[in-house]
Amino acid sequence: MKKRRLLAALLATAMVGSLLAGCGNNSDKSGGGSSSSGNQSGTTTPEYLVWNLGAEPKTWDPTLSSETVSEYITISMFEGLTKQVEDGIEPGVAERWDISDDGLTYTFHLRKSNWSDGTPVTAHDFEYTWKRMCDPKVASPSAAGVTDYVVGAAEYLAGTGTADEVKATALDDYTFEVVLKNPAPFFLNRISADIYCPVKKECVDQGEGWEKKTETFVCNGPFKLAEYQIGSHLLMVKNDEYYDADSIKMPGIRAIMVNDENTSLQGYEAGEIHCTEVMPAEEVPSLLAEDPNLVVIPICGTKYLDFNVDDEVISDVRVRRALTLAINRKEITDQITRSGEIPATGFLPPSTQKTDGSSYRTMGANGLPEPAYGITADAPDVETAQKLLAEAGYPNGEGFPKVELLYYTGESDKKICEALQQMWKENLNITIDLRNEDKSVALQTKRDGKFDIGLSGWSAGYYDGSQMIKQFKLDSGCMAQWRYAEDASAPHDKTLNPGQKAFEDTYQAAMAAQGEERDKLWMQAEEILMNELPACPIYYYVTKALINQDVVTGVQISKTGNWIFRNAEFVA
Amino acid sequence: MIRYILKRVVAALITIWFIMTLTFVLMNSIPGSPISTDKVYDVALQEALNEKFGLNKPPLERYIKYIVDYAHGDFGMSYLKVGLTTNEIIAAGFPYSLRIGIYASGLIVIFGVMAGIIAALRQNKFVDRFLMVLSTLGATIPSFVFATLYLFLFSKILGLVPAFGVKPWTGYIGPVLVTSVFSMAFVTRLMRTSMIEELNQDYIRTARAKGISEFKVVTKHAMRNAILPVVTYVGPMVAMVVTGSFVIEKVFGIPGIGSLFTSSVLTRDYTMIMGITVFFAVFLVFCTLVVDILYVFVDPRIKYE
Repeated sequence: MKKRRLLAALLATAMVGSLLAGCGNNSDKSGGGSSSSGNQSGTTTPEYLVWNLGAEPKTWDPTLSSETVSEYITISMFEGLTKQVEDGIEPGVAERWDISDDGLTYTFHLRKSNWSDGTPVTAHDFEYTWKRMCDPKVASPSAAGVTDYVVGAAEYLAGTGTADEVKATALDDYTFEVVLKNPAPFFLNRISADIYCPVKKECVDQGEGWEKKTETFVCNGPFKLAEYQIGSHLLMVKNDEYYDADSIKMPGIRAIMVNDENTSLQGYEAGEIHCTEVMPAEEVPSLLAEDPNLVVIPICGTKYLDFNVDDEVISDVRVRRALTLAINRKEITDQITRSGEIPATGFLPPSTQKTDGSSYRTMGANGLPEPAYGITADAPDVETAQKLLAEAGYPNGEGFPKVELLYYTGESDKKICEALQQMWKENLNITIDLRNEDKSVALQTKRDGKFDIGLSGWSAGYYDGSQMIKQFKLDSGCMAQWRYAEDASAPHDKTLNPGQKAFEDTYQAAMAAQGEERDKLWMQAEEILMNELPACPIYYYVTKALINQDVVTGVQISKTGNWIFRNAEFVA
Repeated sequence: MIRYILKRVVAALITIWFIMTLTFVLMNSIPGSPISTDKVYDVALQEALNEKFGLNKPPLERYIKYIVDYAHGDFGMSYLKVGLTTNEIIAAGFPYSLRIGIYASGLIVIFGVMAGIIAALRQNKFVDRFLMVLSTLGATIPSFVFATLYLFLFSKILGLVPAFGVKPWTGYIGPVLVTSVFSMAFVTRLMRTSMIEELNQDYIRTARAKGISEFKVVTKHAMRNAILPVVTYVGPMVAMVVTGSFVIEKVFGIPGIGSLFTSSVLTRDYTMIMGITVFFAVFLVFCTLVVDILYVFVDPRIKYE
């Protein structure tokens, strides 16, 4: 009897102990937020830098890379002809290059450098890689990286041409020549991306997945793969064969895959994670105020609404304009996204550059983009919006039919949609219903044009106008269903929109043009877009990164949002 | 007995085949595909991708290929995790979930049964009331709340356990505790109820009247009968617990199979969905079979012909 009582008491104590521990700290959660961040850091220099990716990269075979985390890892372990630095690009494996007067032929002169297995990197490796990118059997999701630019690449992918006709050729061991379909002033920047990094044929021949095994992995960048555990982490260590290995100070990087935002932030605060961009959006404002380790960098991307121009109600451009003008964009960036996003007044973000490096978007004295196309960054134009809606046959919103706003599952998108819903209700007296779908489903719904309005976003791999604009061209599978002619990319779309013709022509003209004329054409394309309004810009993207400066210095973020660890070094 | 097991194995195979067929139909009828993307659409590329992954083949042909491959133990390549087979990915994630699940099952059975017996013996006394309040809380508070509170206290404030992952080993404590809370509460109640019922039976009174020690009455007589419903529950429970929880694995940053399953459904990684579903099914069927065999030892009245 005694024994049993003792046991019961013990058991009960253990249970209540763990439970009370849980309940008690609920109250001091708000107060304890920042207190613990300081006291654990900087005890001893860690062995490796811990970088939380937040997700498992699908691959780091450069040719097959098609998502952000893959790009991060690829860029850390491979190097292309040019390489990204904090404020642009620098020569990479190509020491120098010549560009023909018509802007079409690029001749790259390669430096003598090695693969991580000690064999030389040659122009033949680049030829092999670039042709592999458009090989239909490889079916690289990023094939557009060559098919958009290089002569013969699109034909090879479509099966109407051969590999030999792809104009990316090794003239000798250290000279690589590329012939473009159109002059592309941003080409040197474009090829600093992950997908253009060389791969070694002998490795690739081992079959897909060669990059995931340390035995078959060979790279040419500052770090190389030392360990990979599915779903957990990958360890990259300094590559001693890298041509600039002497300047690499970081012994290695442990890239982990903790995807819970709160857990990631706690890991950072506990000093277990040194670098990450995975953090809860709602914590960003307080981090911005209190933690100098948080950096916010504008990137080339726009959050916008897709208007289904084939929809019965939305097909009226006056309705689209009314909806566009009735939004207070600054309220969304200040109260919902709250991470330094910039309210949008046009489709092209401030980070898109003209040929001379200046921006397509002029910024006003108040730090916001200048008003454009009737849109002011920090105020809705309610009067005009109401007038347009009345002209469309819905005075004061009366008789406005049921319209749905589609978004993907996700807390922040949901909040944006709720805010929009409220603004439209207040300013136009119309009720828009919200519809939530899982991302894979929503993408299909939008491709098929079975929606009214959809929340979308687009970020470009490079800060050229074309990268942002191209998703509205005829053969892009444009989700807004904006097409002047039928196209194989959207066999269902029989409702044609003649307004898109002028845009298409401008797009094609811009692709063929150079210099100022090209810049002008991109602005013209944006103007058509903003007049026809298949899309309504809301804000421009930023990227946020926590870098624990007490532990590491020299970690950089490139203009396209890539992490650069070449100059990283532990604080002694 | 052998005949019985054989019969059960055949039934299990049919069950698994049925689950595969159902999964295949469901998976292919929801919109989206592993290659759907928000990128600019390129007809030639989509065709090349469909060709590469065999998505352009008729569903029946793909279905037959699945069944044949599975019969050979080949779960196929993941669509999205380039170059990895489904078998490899499951093999990498399962050990984490299994380890957590086994520890949690142990905790659940030992503490749940003990707490249930204690509560039954002290029926309506303080200890009983107290345990019942705890078990109500345990069964009603969602696991992510426990997980978050646990991490906040033991990792953030006290710094005793890592903020994520299972290195050092103390990282296992949280997931194991949180995983076991719900089922432990359930087992406690189950055990208490059935123990109270048994203790009121005539044969217990007889045993007591014969002067058998209370310890023996409880352990040898009452408990053996009372534990049967728990054994029934434990089979599927073990299968559920060792196959991992998406929420718990996400919060604790554990690369287990639970989070893997959810992410493959969201990304429409067909081969992964199929692989993990079949793996789970086999596991569940196996656990139920083990429980059925265990009955024979726990309850001599049961005999399988």
